[in-house]
Amino acid sequence: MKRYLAILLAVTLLLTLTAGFAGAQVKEITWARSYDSTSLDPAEASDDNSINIVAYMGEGLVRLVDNEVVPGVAENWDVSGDGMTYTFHLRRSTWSDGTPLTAYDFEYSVLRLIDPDAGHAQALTGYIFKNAQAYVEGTAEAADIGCKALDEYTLEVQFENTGLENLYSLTKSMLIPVKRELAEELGAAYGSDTDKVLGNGPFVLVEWAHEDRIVLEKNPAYWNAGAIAMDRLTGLANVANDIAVEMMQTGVVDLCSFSDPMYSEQLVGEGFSEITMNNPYQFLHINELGATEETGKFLSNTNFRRALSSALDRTALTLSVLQGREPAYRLVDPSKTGVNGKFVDEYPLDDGINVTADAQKAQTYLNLALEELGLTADDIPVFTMLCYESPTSQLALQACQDMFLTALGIQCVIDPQPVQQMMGKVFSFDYDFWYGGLGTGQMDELSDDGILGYFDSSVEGQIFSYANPTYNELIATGKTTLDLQVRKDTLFELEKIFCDEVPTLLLGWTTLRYVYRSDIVLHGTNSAYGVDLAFIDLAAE
Amino acid sequence: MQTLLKVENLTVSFFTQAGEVQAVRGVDFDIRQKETIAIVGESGCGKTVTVQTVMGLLSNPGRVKDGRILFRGEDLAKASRERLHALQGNEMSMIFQDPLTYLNPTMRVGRQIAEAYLQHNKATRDEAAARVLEIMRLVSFPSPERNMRAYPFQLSGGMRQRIMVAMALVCNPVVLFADEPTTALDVTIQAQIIELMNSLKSKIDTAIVLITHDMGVVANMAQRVYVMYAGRIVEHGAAQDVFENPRHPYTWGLLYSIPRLDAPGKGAMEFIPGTPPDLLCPPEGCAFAPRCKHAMNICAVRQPPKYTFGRAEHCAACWLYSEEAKKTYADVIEKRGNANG
Amino acid sequence: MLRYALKRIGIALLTIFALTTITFFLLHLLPGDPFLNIKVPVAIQEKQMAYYGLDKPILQQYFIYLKNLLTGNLGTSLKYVGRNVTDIIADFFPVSAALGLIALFFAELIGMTFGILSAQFKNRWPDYLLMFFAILGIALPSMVIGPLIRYFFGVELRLLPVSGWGTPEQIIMPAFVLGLATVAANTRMMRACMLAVTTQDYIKTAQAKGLTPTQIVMRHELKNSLVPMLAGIGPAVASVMMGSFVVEKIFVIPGLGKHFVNAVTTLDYPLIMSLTIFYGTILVTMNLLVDLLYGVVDPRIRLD
Repeated sequence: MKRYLAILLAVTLLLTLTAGFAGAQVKEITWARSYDSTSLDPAEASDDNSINIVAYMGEGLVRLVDNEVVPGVAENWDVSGDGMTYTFHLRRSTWSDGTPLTAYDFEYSVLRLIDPDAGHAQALTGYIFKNAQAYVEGTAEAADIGCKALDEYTLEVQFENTGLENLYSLTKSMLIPVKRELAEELGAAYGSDTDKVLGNGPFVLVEWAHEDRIVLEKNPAYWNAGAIAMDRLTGLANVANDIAVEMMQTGVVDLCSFSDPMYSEQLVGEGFSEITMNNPYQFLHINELGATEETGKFLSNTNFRRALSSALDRTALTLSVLQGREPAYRLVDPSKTGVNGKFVDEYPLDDGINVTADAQKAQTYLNLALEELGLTADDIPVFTMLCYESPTSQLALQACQDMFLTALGIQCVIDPQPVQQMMGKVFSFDYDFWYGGLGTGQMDELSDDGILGYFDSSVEGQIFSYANPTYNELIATGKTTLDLQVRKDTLFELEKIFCDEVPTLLLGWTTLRYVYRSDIVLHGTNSAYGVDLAFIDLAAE
Repeated sequence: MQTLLKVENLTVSFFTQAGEVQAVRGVDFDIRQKETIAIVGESGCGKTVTVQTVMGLLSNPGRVKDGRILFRGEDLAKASRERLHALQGNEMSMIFQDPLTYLNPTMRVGRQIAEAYLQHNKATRDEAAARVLEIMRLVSFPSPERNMRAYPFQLSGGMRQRIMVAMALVCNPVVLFADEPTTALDVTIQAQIIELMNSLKSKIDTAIVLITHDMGVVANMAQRVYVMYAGRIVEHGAAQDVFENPRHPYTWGLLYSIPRLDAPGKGAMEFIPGTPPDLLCPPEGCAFAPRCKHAMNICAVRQPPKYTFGRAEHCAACWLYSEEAKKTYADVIEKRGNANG
Repeated sequence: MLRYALKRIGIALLTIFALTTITFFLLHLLPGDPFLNIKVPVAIQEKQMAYYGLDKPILQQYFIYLKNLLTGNLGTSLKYVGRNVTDIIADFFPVSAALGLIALFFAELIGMTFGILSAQFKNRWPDYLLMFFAILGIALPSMVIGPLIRYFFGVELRLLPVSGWGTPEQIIMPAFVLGLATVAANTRMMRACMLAVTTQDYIKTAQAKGLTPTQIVMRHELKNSLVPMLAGIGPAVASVMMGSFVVEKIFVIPGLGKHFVNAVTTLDYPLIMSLTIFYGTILVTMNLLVDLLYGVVDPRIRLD
C-alpha cells in the first residue's frame, strides 16, 4: 500500500512539474481598456476597442504597419496607370475554421457592408468602390460595383476616385472579410458574441465575457503564423485610469494607455516602458453659421476668427487644463511623415498658430472685423460654448471663456450636454463654439476621415459651413494625386490656409502614452488604434 | 403559620439627573403561608416599587439604599443576579396590570406559559405542554387545547388576565404578587378575576400580595391590609379591623371617598384635598400633614411612631394617638361622630 | 387571503404597464437620437434609424413595442449591435444580484447585531463607538471609501485582488463598500427599534419569569423589533440587485449598474425600456413578498 502511494505521489509531482513547464511556455499578456468592445462585426465596429479586436481576429487585403501598407491576404497586386483599378492576387489562405478564403468572400463582404437594408454603421467605408453609392441610391446594379472576384484568388477593385489614399483605405478594419454562410445565418446578431463571429487573422476569439474580458489565442491557421510570437492576449474592460495603475503595479495588467501623464509618469518611475503616439487633435470648433444670426455675423468673419485664435494661450491651456496635450503651433504634428522623413522638417512652419496669447494682435484683428462689419464693440453678442458634460471639457471651456474675455472682452456661456444631445446640437448647428476632437486621418490629414476634409464645402452634409473654393480645389488635388510629393505639397498649402483663415481653432495635439511591462517588445503601431498587439513579443529571460 | 417573606425597613431611591427620588422610605411588611395581604394607596405612593424590588425587578436608576428582604431566611437585597433569576417566576412570581401590553404580542400564549415552566424545570416539550394545559384548566380557561396556540390579541381581556395568572402559577410559587390585576379590566371581568383568585386560594398553597388602590377589591380578597402613603406604611392590620375601625386620617379619607350607591343625596364626591408630596425632597415630618384636617404642629416636624391598637398587629403611625394629643383626639372623634367618619 | 393576493398582483401588473408607457414616451421626448455621429454621414444615419423602426410616428412605435413586449421580444440593443437586450440583462444581472445579495445579507446581519449591542450598552462606550462608526458609514460616500480600501488592501498590503469578478477574494472589498451604508443605517434603525421594545411592558413580564437579559433579547425583543426593519428590506433587496454604478466601476465588476446610466446617455432605447421594466418588476415583486413576510413575523397583521 505504501509503495503504491509513493508511486502515485511521484507521478502527481511529475505531472504538476510538466504542467508548470507547459504553463511557462505560454506567452501571454493582459491589457487594460477603459470600455468594452461593442461589436465585432467589421461593418459595425466603430469604437477603437472594437476596431482593434476585429483587426486582431481578421485581415483584409492589406495591412497597415507603422504607416506603411503591407500585404495581407493579398500577396501582390497590379495597379492601372490612372490609379483607379487594382488587381489583387490573393494567397491561398483559410478562415480560422479551416475552410478556404477566396476572392468571393471579399466581394460578398463589400456588398454586405453597403447593403441599404441592413443599416450598418460603417457603410460609408464601402463608398470608395466605384458605383457603391450609386447602388445604395438605386441608380446602379450590384454587378456594377467596383469589387469583383475574377476567380477564386483574383479580386479586381475599381475605385470611385483616384488617389494615394485608396490603398490605405483598404487596410481599414471595415473591409475585413465576413463569411457569407455565418453572416446570413446570424443576420444582425453577427459579431455580438464569441460564437457569432469568424475571422481569418492572427488570432482567434476564444472568450468574450461582456464588460469583463476578451481573450484571443493564436490562430495556427493564419498564413503568417510564424510571425506571431504571442500565444494569448487578454483584454480587460471598464478599467478606469486609477484602477489601471494599481493593476499594473500588482502585475495583473501588463499594458495600458493613458492620455494624462499623471498616471503614466508614476508607472514609468517604477520601471515600466513607455511609447507615445499622437492622436487625435483637440479643437474648439467654430460654427460659422452661428447659433443665432448675430453670432453668425461675427463667426463668419475671418478677422474675427483670427482675433479669437490670437487670444488663446495654448501653452497655458495644455499645461493647466489639457494635460497630455502639446500646444499646436501648426496643423500637422511633429510625428507625421512627409515624403521621405518627417513632415515638419520637410515643410517648416514654426508660427502657423500662436502658442501663447498675443493680446495686441487679437485686438487689432477684432478692430478690423468690427470695421468690416460696420459694428462697434457694444454690438458683440454673447456666444455659447457647447461641450460634453465631463469635468475636463467644462474646465477647458472655462479657460477659453476666460481668455476670450480677457483679451477681447467677449462673453461666452458654457453649455454642457450629454453625448447624444450634444451631437444633436452639432448637427443642427445650435452652437457657436464646440469643444471636440477629430482624428488625424488614416494616411494623413488629407485622408477621408482626416480633419481637412471636414471643411470641403463641395461635399454635401458637412457639419461645418466654412466655404473656400481655393481650399476645395486643393483638397481635390491632394486627394486624387498619385504623386506623394504633390500630395504633401498640397497638404502644406492647405495647412497654411488653415492656419491663416482659422476655419476652426486647433488647441493641441493629444499624446497617448502606452505604458507596458519592460520585457514586452513592440513591433509596430497602427494609426487606427494605437499599439498593434498582434506582433508584439516578450524578451527572453 | 410560617412567615414566607419579611421585608424590613426597605428603602429604595431613584438616582435621577434631577436628584434622588425617595420612592420607598422604610417599609416593613410580612406575609405567611396561604395568606392574602393587600397593599393599598394612591398612585405614586411606592407600592409598585416596593413589590418590584422584592421580586428583583428594580431597574436603573433605582437602588436599594437600606433594608432587608428576607425570603425564607435569605436576604434578597444582597442576592446575586443569578440567584434572583432562579427565584423569579419560580418561587415568587408576579402578575401585572394590563394583560394586553404585558403579554408578548407576537408569541402564542401557550408558549409564553411554557417558557416560564421550562425556565425553571428540565422537561421535554410534551411534558411542558401537558403542564401548560393543566395550569390553564386550573385558571378555568376555556378550551385550552385550542387556545394554547392563540395570540394575545385574539383573546378577550379576561382571558388574557387568566393567561397572566397561569403564567405566574405554572411553577407553583410560594408567593404571588398581583400588581393592580383588575384595574385595566371592566367591572364584570373584575368580578371574574377576583372570584378566580379566591378560588385558587383553596386549590393551591400560594400566598398572595395584592396591590391595589381599590378598597372594594381589598375587602373581597385580603386578610390583612397595609396602607401606604408617600413611601411609608401609615397603617396596617387585619382587614376587618382596618375597615371597621380605621385609625389613620389617610385611611379615613380613603374609605370615606369610596362612592356609595346608598349615599344620601347626590352631593359631590368626597375626596382628599391636595396632592402627595414631591419625593425629591420629602418633608421631615409626617408626609400626610399638609393634607390632614387634623394636623398638629408636631406633625410637620417629626415622623410619628407606630401605635398599636386592640389586638396586636393593628398599627397606625399618627401623632393623634400619642399621650399629649389625647384631648385633640377626643375633639376629632366628636366631630367625626364615630371612628369610621 | 387569496383574494387579497390576487388583488395585489393585479395592481402590480397595472403598475408595470404604467411604468412602461410613461418611460416610453418620456424617453422619446429626450432631444437627440442614438445614431448621431460626426464620423457617419446623415444619409447612413437615416438608414440606421429606418432599420430599427425609429423613423415611424411615435404612437405607432409605441404599439409596435407593446405588441413585441407581449410576445416576449424586447428587441436588440442599439449600442451592442445585434445583441438581444434580454441576453444583456441575463448576462449581467446574476453578477449584480450575487454581489448585492451577499453584501446585503452581511449588512443586515452585522447591522442588526451592532444595533442590538448598541441598545444593550446604551449610553456607554460601546454604544458611542458603534454609533460613531454608523455615522461614518452613512456619511462617507462609496466613491471615497472604495478607492481607499482598494489601494490599501490591494496595492499596499497585497492582501486582496485590486479588482475583477470571479473568485471569492474578489467579492470581499466590493461587498464591504456596497454594504457599508446599509450596515450603518441598520445599526441605527435596529438600535432604535430595540430601545423602543425594551421599554415595552411585556419585557417586564419576561423579567418576572426569571429570564436572563440574553434570553429576553433573543426571544422577545428581537422578533418584535423586526417588523419595522422588514419594511426597508424589500426595496433594499430590489435596488441592491440592480447593481451599484459606483461600486461596480471602482472594482471593475461586470454588473448591471453601469448599463442603467450608460444606456440613457447613449439613448439605447430598447435597453433602457427593458432595464426599466426589469427593475420595476423586481421591485414590485419584492414589495409583495415583504408584505407576505410581515404576516409571518407579526401575527396581528396576518388576519387583516
